[in-house]
Amino acid sequence: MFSAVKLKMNKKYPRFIYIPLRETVNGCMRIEYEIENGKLNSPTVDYSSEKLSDSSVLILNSYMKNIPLVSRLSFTDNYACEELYASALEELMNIEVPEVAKYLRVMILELSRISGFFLYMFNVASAMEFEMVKIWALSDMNRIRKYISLIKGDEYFSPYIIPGGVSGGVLSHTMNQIYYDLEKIQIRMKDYDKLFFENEIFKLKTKNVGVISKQVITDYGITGFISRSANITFDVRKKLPYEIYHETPIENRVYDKSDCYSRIMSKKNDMDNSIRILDYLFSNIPRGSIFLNRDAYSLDKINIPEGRSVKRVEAANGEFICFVESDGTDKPKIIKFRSPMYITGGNFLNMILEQTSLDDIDIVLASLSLMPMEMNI
Amino acid sequence: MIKIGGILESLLQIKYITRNYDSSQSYITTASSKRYINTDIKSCDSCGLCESVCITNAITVDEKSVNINEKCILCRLCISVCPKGALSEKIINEEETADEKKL
Repeated sequence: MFSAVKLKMNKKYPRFIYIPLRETVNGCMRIEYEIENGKLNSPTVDYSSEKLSDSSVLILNSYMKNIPLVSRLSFTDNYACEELYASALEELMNIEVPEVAKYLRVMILELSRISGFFLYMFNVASAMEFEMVKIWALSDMNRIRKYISLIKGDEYFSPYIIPGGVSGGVLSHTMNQIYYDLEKIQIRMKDYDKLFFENEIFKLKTKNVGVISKQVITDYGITGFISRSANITFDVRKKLPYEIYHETPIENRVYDKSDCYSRIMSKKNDMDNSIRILDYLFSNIPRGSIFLNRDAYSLDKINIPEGRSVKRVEAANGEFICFVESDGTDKPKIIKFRSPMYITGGNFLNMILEQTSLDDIDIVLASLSLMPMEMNI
Repeated sequence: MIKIGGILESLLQIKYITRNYDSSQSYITTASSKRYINTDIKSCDSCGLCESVCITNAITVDEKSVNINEKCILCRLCISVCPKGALSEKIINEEETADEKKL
């Protein structure tokens, strides 16, 4: 009798390992969990298979040599990283950016946000096995990246947002081409609505799944489309406007609660906002040939003045932060980037996955837009 | 003899996998375009700014010449930094097509 009780007391569930597909999560991660009645118990997320602290290399090089490295820190938000680094250096060096460059910076940031949306669509569609939407999303993502390469004037991965402005101007006919092609994408979004967003299967699979309360979001400091899905209208573009975001129009929608459905719809609303901003840019961009302040690049200014700078940017998945400290030499003393993934991928994810059904785990992971490679950069 | 060989092959499973995939039939892939950084020595004043900016240390600037070696990753930072506009990007295939048009 005693031994039976003892056995019950010491009863331990076996721990399993779940490795999400690369299609649903953009990187390598694994989840250790116990299972009870088809639901996860005490899950722990592990990112040890990912390369971490990439930005530690930046201390070894000079400020100017770091420019091509910075854009390689993030997969979707590479232009947000460039914007952060460039604006931090501009603040330290007291350099002004030409007006045209500000518009071009916002243009490339918004285009990269749209390409990030299509990557998100690819993740979500593959988690729910909507094969056609998955292929459409990939092709549309490539289309947007082609526009970005048209603006940059090359097909290779080179930095565009650099301290002092941008690396090249845009011709008016390329601008017109992008404008008309974006109209086509807006028409194409109606097909997405028919096949995906208004589909009853999609609604059944996502509504009331992976619900996050408003209190949890404020406690953990979640930003971006996840916080907007819980009706917290925090947006760095409006709260702490940078470049020309104080002029641009942004609309927010109201959602019932932050479940998978409202998170996906919130991301879609972000994409609609990006198109709204691009429309505003195309009609208001000033004409000018000066897009780079060359004062940032002279042999006298290799050493950057002593000081600190903290910059915040609204990236595709939330608030991206950069901290730079200079000690008056040509190399940074401290430089650190913080991705929105740092919050969503930590304890917050363990908490959400608790008591989630094994059938829903892929949808929940995809709806959060996880980037394990950006966990600690 | 051929029969025995065939049986032996099938028994020992020594089938030559490459028999159906002859190397002579393989496709030779070629890059559609090749880009490189071109220097205009006449307008260069050897200030060395491009050298100080290059992450891969591919550029070496002398008083008479600017050398860019194969370590170049085409980040094009040197082009946007150059105060004299002495550096530019060139595509080999574009030049060829332009020559063909002339002919």
